Amino acid sequence: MDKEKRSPEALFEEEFLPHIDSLNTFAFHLTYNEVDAQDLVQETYLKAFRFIEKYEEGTNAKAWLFKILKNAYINQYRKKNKRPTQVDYEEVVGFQDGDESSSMSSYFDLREEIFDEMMGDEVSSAVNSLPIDFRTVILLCDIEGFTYEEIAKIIDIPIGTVRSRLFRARNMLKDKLKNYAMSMGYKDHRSDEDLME
Amino acid sequence: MEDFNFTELKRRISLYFENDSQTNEKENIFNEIQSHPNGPEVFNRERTIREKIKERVHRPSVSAGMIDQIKKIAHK
Repeated sequence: MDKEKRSPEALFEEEFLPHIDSLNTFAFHLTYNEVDAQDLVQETYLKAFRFIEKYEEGTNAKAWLFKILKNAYINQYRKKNKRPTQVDYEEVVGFQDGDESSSMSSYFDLREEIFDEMMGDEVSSAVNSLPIDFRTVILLCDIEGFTYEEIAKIIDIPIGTVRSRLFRARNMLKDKLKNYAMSMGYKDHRSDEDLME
Repeated sequence: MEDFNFTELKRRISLYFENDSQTNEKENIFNEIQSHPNGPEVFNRERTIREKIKERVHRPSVSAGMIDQIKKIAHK
């Protein structure tokens, strides 16, 4: 027997509303402040309800909402004639080809205790300091757990680009956390022997 | 089992953590990683970094007022 079709109101509350926390976190890390983030989330839900007939019940509501939010964010930038930090993708490819971290010695010993010393702000600051395109993939993949395929659909880029962007983003993030750890006086505790490939 | 270099080790660790890796693929990749001399250490470090970033990133709370406002969107 076919499942009875829910009303748009019920669909909105049951499938869309549970993602409000995730959307708010994503919006916060795009806009850097809580008020703008809330406005962006509200705009996302307004658009989602306006176009609710385009959403297929029981499919990936979270990814659909994230795509709306991402587009709303880009449109806001267009209106304000501001552009988020752009990325030179040739540079990304070049970086990957010449990946300097091809041995253990390039890996700083980012141990659990270093994170335990952090107040929390350092991790958010490190994420927020990434250029927008890199920040977006880190948030979607590592914070929200989207697959590469879902991320590709949300931000309209090929899966290969998602992979290369994540690779670069993670290296940048580790560098920022490493610099923070070093500024706190942490040293790499591994022996020279361990650092040999 | 085939030998592989450090760059390949990092690639496999990255593949292991992909959210869409299948369970049986993960098990094979995990075994390959463990067979590399630096595998367990780099794997554990990567896992710690990812877990800690996820755990420590700021998640602003959503107020009850905001939820109510959004619920009203569907009932206007």
